[in-house]
Amino acid sequence: MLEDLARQLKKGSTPTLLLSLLKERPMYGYQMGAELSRRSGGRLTASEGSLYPTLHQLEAQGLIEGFWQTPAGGRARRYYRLTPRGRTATRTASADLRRFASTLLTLVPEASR
Amino acid sequence: MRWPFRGSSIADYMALFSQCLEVPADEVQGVAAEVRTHLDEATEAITGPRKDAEVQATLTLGSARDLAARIGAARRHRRPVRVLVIDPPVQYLKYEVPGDPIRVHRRDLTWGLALPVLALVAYWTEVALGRNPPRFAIAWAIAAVILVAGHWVLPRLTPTETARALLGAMGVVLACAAVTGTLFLARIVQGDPILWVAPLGYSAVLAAAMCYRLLTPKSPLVIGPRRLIDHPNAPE
Repeated sequence: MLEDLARQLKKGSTPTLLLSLLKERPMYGYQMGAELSRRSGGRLTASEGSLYPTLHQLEAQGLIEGFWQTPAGGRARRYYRLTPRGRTATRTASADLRRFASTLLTLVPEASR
Repeated sequence: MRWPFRGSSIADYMALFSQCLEVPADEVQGVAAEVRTHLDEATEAITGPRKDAEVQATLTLGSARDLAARIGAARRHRRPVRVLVIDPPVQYLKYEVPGDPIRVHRRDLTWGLALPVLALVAYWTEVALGRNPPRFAIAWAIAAVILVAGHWVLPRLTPTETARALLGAMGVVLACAAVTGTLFLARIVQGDPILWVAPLGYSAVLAAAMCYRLLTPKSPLVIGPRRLIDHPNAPE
C-alpha cells in the first residue's frame, strides 16, 4: 500500500522533474535518469521504463522537442530541449508541485511526533 | 522473450521492440535508435561480463513489448480527421500521422465482442424471467451498447491494443460462460445450453488466437490490418 503510494507520487511528478531538468540545458534520456539519481543522492531514480514514454508524451504535447546530436568522438544521441510552450508549462508545473508538496507537509505530521 | 521479463540480450530486445513498436513508419527507426543508444550506454556503465550487463540493462527498461506499447501510446494521434466507409464490412479511418496515414478498423470486430455477450445475456434473461418476456430484446439492447461503444473505441486502438482489448473481453466472457456452464451442469439453473456453449467455445478460440497474435506479432499466420494505401478503393 505505502509502496504503491510512493510509486504513484513519483509517477505523477516525473514529467515535472524531467521538464525541470531540461530547463537547465538539453539532455538525453539516459543522462536525465542518471542526473535525477545523482541529485537526489540515489533516493529518486526515474524508472527507465517510464522515462521514455514520458519524454515522448511531453514531445507529443509540444512541451519538449527532440533532436539528434553526435558529439565529437561520441555516439549519436537524441537530446531533448524545452519549447517556448514547455518553458511556460515548466514554470506552472513547478509552482504547482511546490504548492502541492507544502500543502501535503502541513497536513502530514512528522514521523517522530 | 518470456513472461515475467527477466532481461535479455540487446539484440533480442531490440528485435522484439521494433516488431511491437506501433508509431508512424517514419518514426520507427528513430525511436528504436534512441532505445538502442540507451541500452548500449547503460550496458557500458554496468561492470561485469558484457552478457550479464546487457541482461541487467534491458531489465531496467522493462519488457520490450510493454515499452513499445507505452511509447506508441504516447506518440499516436488518436483523433481521426474523418471517417470514411468505402467498403461495407470495413471502416477506414484517416489519421493525421505522417508516414502512416491510414489505420484500418474492421467493423465486424465489434460484432465479435457483442455476440457472445448477446448469447449469455439471453440465457440469463431466460433463467431470471422465464420465456415470456422477449429475452432476445433485452439481450439486444445490451449488445447494442457494446456495439456503439466498440465502434467508437476500437478504431482508436493499435493492432496490439485491439488484441489486448479482445483478449480481456474474451477472458470475461470465458469466465461468465464457464460459471454459467457449471451452474447448468450442476442443475442449479436451466436454460438453452447453446447460449453458454457457443460463447464458451467462441471466446476460448478467440482468446487463444489473440494470445498467439500478442506473442508472435510478425508470424505469417497473423493476418494484419490491410493498408488502405495498397487498397484498390483507397481514396486520394
